[in-house]
Amino acid sequence: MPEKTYTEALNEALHQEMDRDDTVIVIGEDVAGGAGTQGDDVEAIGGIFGVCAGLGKKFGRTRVIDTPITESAIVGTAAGAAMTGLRPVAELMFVDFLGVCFDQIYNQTAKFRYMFGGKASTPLVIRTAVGAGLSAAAQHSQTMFSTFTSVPGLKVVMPSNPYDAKGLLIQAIRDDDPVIFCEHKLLYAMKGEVPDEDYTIPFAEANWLRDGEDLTIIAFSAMVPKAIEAADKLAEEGIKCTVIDPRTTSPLDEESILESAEETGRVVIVDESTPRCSIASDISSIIVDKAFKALKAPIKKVTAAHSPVPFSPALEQAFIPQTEGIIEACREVLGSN
Amino acid sequence: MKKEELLKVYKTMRTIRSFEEQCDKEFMQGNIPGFVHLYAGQEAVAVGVCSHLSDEDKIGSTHRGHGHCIAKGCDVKGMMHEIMGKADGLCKGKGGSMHIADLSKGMLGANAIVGGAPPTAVGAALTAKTLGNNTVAVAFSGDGASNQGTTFEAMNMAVVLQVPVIFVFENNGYGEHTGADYAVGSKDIAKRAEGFGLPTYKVNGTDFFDVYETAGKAIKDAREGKGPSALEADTIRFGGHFIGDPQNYRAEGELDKLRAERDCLKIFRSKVISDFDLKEEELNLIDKEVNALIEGCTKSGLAAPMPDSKELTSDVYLNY
Amino acid sequence: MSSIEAITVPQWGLTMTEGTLVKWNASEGDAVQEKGEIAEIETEKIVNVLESPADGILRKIIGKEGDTLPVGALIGILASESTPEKDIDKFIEQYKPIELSAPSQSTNEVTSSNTVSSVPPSTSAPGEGRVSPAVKRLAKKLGVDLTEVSGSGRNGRISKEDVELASKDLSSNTENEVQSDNNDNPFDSIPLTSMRKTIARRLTESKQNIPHFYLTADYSIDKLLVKRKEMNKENLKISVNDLLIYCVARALIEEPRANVQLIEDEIRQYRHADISVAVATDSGLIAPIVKKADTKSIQEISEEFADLAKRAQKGKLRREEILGGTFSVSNLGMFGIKHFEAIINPPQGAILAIGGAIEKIIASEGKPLSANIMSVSLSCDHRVIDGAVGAKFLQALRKHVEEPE
Repeated sequence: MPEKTYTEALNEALHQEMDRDDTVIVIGEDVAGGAGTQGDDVEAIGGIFGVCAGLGKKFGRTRVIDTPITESAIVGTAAGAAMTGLRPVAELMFVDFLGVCFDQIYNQTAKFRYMFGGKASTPLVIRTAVGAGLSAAAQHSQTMFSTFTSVPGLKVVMPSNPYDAKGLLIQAIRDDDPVIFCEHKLLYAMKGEVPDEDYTIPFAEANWLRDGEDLTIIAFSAMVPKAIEAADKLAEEGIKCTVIDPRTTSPLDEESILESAEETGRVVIVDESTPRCSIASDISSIIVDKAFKALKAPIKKVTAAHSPVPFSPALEQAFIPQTEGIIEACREVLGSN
Repeated sequence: MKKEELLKVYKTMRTIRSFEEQCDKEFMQGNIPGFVHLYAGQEAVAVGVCSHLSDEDKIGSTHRGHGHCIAKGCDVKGMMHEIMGKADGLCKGKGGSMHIADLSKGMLGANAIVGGAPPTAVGAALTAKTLGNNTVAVAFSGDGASNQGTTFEAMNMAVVLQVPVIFVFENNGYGEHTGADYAVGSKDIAKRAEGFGLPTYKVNGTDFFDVYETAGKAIKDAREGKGPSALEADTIRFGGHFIGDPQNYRAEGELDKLRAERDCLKIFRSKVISDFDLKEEELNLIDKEVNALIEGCTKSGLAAPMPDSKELTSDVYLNY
Repeated sequence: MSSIEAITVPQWGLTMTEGTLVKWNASEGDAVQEKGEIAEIETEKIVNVLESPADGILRKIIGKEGDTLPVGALIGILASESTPEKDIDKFIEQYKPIELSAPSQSTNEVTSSNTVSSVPPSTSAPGEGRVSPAVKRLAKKLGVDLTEVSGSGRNGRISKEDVELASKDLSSNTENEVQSDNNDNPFDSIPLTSMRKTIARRLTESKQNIPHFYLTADYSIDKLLVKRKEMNKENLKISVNDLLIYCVARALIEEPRANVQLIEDEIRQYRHADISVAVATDSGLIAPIVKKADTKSIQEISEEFADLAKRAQKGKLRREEILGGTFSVSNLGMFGIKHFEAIINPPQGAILAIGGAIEKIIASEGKPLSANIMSVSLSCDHRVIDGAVGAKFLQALRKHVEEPE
């Protein structure tokens, strides 16, 4: 199977879906780039991370729309278009910008269907770059997963590898509900096997990346490679871990999580978000609620620190959960009886 | 303006230019992490405005904030250390290029959120009015931010509250990679600001004197309680949106032309020599001084230690 | 016959996994008849004769004399004389031994594969039934064939409950086929039910891990029998067992060191006696609990136990009525058993095995006396109950049994 980067996989998904369906449009800042410069036929950048490369040239500026820097209007416009017949893929360049447009996301987009008695359909995808590790500092490095997940009406997706990225984005575009599609900055360069044809991965279907009866590690987005590293290190000592990547936090594949928790009784959850009200807290609470008797030890959460994301690399590395921290948490959970 | 003042202006602009050029170099060598947005080319605006401001006056800036920082008097060494993420940086390494601040100098911070600063500046102006301390606030924005909802709201709020804030829009022709011509629907930022009820001015952002004179008037009016105003400065940036931007949106030869014809430092130099009787050598001396300063800061910055990970969660709260 | 027939190492008996080919009784090219003795195979030190599966020519001998091969391995090819050589070669090449599902592999074998899934498992089409690794393992443990399970979850997902349900169906639906093994003694094949498996596992654990010791005592129950008679005059249905439960409960309160559970490193000495009383049902032994028996009257105990026993027979006991219990009582007296030693139910510390009462002549103050003597045996976990404690408990019990109020 051909190897592609996460960016290429996403780019393919967009190309294929825009080919297949004329109502799919892309809208955001610099999605083509160069609008209003040099005669307007320049694709200056194809998205700040290159995910939209080639789309502007191929489909033209009526379907690939560069916008001013005006997030509220971007999301609001995209939501309105979605409700009335288009299938927009809007880009929120960095998830941290959700502040200036959050009303359009959580009060409008998320609630149209419900408020209007099921009569409205908002097939909007908001693609956004999340996560720390590039020293992009406090206002360009957050994850905000739980902010979105907590809002009824939104679906929240965070692929951890190129194969998932393509399948989940195609699924998101075809899904008739609003989807917040979280792309982790550090994963854009990740390579992996990605089929050339289009395919979907259903939501609420976790992926099992390692299998073992001793301990369950739940991780998502950029924490998955670290979880796998931790699991493999522990395997050398004869400790066999199951690693589960939920892929989507809303809807969530509770069944897979509970089945493994019930089997191992020992759970570690790795989440790059800040600790309070994180996805890790949420999943932990679900497990305690539904599989308490099976637990042999308290659930351990490995999260970022309760602070804004620091700029200096030395501090940022201390902020983000690392493989050693995951292994430590696993040992704690195994050590408890 | 007196000779010393002019030399000071030149030094400040020169410091910004050299600082930015050094950042470019250091970034390309991998000594600066994260994202950096260079101000080179826009110096006349920052210095033209900030020359009228004291430490007690406040400014809010953008992600392209090094120039405003230096113009407002922030410590250059502290800035360089901060941008390199060092423990003794202006913000202890926690903010970085996009969040440089020094409240003791009235610099309310560079802001990574486009349109993030104007509302804050309005707040600073409200304090000034409430306390009656004769100070003003300046909100620097780009042409990109001029389209952001928060900017519109800030302008309206300033007019409604009649607070001493000046909105300075630096139109360098590009909002990220998109042309200002395309993104600003009304084409004329100043004219649009007028619609909010502000007196507005347009200046040539590459001519220090034009900026200085007009900004002086706007700031004086604000200090005298005559309310907020807006300034649109037509300027240029030499670099891309960020360091590493391939700048595919520029026409061929555009940058060369800009450097030849619209370099505010060149323009200033020729003007002060011809109209104010300054000498080439005096300016060259300043160039040398500034280069030495920047070199020194770079050296010390590279050698300085990174912050201790114990500092990760300090300064989140005052007490918790 | 034109088809090619495989001669393979047969499965003789449930536990055979391999056999040694001792001798071929035919050579390549020989004609053999169905059921003719074509080879001798040794297994478990016994040599058996292998019969030919069909008529034909022994075209190829693959297994050599002296080879030890797994059950199902190909050892020879039968075909007609005219069958082309290359067809036979192709057959041999493509031959795959049938996966004989040996029940001996029901031990908890962990197949934790640490293979990388950077390409995630293939996405399932709707209705294709995803199964998580944990559930796959459970299915294997319970002997459930996943291809026969219909998933009740999203997109046909097979859940833990689906597998457990299927496992229950398995145990109730199995027809007892009459089979015959080589000893010409037909037998009914009765697979272990989940319940039986659980009993097997728990009691094996108990016997292996707990240092059991046994104390025996004989009680004279004449007075107890009199009391029973009196109570039943009032139209009650008190049994000897009910009375014994009552006595045991009170004895446990007097000697609480016998009313214990061992949990990890902790001895839990309970304030009340929750007595598990063994009941024999069609599906196996089960022990419903009479909770806080020390606070209940004989009549209450009798009624409660009657209800529990009835529901036990019907399989209608609730979880909390079976799990827990601080002490167990098992009575085989009604089957004429004089005396037996029971196996402790962990995490409890002891179990009392009660035998049937026999009318005997005993000596009392030098004179012969007729008495109903009942023999009891107390099994104790020596980690938590010492001989003296066990003995004291039996002493207390004697008091209650021989001198009922």
